[in-house]
Amino acid sequence: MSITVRVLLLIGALSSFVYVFLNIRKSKMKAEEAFFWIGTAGLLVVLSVFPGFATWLSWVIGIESPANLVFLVVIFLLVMKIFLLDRKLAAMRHQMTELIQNTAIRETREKQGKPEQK
Amino acid sequence: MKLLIIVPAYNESENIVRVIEELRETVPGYDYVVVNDGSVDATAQLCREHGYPLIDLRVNLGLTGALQTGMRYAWEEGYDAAIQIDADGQHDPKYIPEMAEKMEKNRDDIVIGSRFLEGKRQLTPRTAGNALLDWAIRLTTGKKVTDSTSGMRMYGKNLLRVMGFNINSSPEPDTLAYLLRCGARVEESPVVMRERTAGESYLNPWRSVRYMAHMLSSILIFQWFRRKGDANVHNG
Repeated sequence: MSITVRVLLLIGALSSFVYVFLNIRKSKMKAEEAFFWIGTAGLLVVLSVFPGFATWLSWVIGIESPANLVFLVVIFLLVMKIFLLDRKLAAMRHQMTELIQNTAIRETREKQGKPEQK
Repeated sequence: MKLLIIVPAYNESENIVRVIEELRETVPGYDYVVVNDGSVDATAQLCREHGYPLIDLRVNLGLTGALQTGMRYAWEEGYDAAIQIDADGQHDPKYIPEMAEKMEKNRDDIVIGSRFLEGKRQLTPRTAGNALLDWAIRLTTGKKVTDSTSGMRMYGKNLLRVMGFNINSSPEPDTLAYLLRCGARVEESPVVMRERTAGESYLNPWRSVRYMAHMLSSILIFQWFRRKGDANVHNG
């Protein structure tokens, strides 16, 4: 890898790490929710500081190009992230539906002068 | 048997008064409730003006969410059964007493108002789709159902809870297949449905194809991943 690419990579990785970190400090995200992003940003930093790591690992696993290994790992992480987001979205939709239903049912019951249940 | 008639309504201001008045006239002995599914027209207002019992959802949840609200309400208010009637006037309330009678007599969990129980069905794309779904249900559950897409369905006490609180409980054939596999006792009762007199039908060709694909995959494939124990379906 040329020195230019390494420097660019390092700058990119460090700035994304700092960006994630700042967001957590400003409480834009809960710490446990940001764990994934801290981990990902940290991984990028490690890979850019020690490019030998990716080369060594791809050699161990038997992948010809270290770049392919990095792509593979990143794509896997992203797919998992999308799945988890989708799951969360479904859960939130369910919560919202329940909230709307409960509000409407309670309103009806109040209008009929019935005591609250549960 | 304490029965609640649930009328989910979305933008049905043209039909709702006529449908409810017919309901009150035909089956005066039963309780009913309109579930307004976030309509943007005067549906809710008309119900208030006429003093109809109303559950007013402020946000549109879709038919499943609206019906679920009614089921939840029926369960919490201690009803023994609930039936879904469309607000567009397709379902004739005169069949309700017969369906209730069947449910009570045979301790059914579900009674379906079937269009095809008596007489032959004519072959149209719609009835063909219907037959395909009935076949899929028969294949996976071994039970014969002649009108799995009928919107006129009565649910018994234990199913009120399942239909009201389970995240997957849509009023669709795949739910029916699931409940059958859980051991629900299902009976059909012959009905004749009317054409809708005002407003537009929800189904268009593209939606129908999507619906069929969704239902078939759900009945034939996803069903096997669903836990059976979730629904303790039997009445009494």
